[in-house]
Amino acid sequence: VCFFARPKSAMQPSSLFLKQDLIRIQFGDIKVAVDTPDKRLFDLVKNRFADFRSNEDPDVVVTCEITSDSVFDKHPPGAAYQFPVIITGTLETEMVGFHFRARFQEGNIHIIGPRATYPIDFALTHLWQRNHPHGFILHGAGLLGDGRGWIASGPSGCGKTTLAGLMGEQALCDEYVGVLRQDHKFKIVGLPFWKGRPGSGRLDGIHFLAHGVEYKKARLNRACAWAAIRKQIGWPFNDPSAAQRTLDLAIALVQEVPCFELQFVPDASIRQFLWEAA
Amino acid sequence: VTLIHARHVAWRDICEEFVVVDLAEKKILGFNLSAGLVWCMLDQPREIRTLTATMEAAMQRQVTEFINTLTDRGLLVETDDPALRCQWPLLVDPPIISWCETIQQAGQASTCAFLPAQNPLCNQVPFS
Repeated sequence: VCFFARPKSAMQPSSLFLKQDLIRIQFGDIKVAVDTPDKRLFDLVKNRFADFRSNEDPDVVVTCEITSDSVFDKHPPGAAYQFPVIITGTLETEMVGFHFRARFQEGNIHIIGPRATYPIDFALTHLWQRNHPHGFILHGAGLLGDGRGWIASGPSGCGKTTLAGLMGEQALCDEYVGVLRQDHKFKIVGLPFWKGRPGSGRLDGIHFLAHGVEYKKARLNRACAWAAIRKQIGWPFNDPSAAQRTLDLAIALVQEVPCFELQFVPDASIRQFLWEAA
Repeated sequence: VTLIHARHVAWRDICEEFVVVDLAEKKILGFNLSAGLVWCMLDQPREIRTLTATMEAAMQRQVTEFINTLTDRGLLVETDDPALRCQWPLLVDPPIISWCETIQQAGQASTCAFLPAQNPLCNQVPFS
């Protein structure tokens, strides 16, 4: 426990608080601690990563410097993401409505931006991609149970979050999942987007979700699987060589891992159907 | 004019077509086999007029048009490096871009959580 000693005049109401601890997070296999003297951001981060809290010593410490109030109070999310954020250093990139520069010095990331958690998300996502040249991030829910792992992927609104919610403790994450190739096999890694738990395991198959009036599962040929998966890849736009590796990995993925179209009804019996049909 | 692939692309052949990821424009393009062969040739600096000189007139026009399209899209760029000579592949069909998709997953600004109809679980977390 420690106190932040600052001149009274420099204190903002939100930064007057007792620093209880760093917020420790498990981001895939990277252990992260977020350190901020700002009470509101501290609470936001604590809530944001609630499912992925860790007690282990961090590999990386993220420090945050606030430049403006929470942009989500006054702006819709799409517009809020356009607020400038600097993640100190040299790696420059541009995403939809969002610009940032980043340099990940050994063991430390410093973020300067609005009082929000999305800059931390971006920084950690880039860190994960940089640390895993044989991996990429897929827009999909990660499911892991009975020693088998699955990805449920598809466009927004297809039911990833619903399915992950129905899978309970077998859901690793419901929005973005890490895909890694190790020892000539693919595995999935739970990342903190948005609900789930830390964990990883062998990848046995990918389901591309569709709404249905009954359960229906059909194996996709390679061309259809490729057409489905390429839309869901989180492409690393800042780095052409990383994008080339991602492309090669994604092609290997649809060649080696069975892919299915899954129509499902959102009720609890999906758990049994999913594992029995595996 | 000597042309070569732009640096902001990734590409590979899969399922009898060529896929080119344009990182600058956030597009994925599918090329037919002829287009893929032309694209592969331009992995090295090539002098276009020399390459197309031996083609019959119709194919020469179609290949030139295709290369102009790629140049306009920023997928090919001029280079000062010396052009390499090569044997131009025999093209049966005209080279075309078969399809083009906009990449959706361009960071969390495109997350499902921004859709108003989403599950509340999906809605609440990133808005902080």
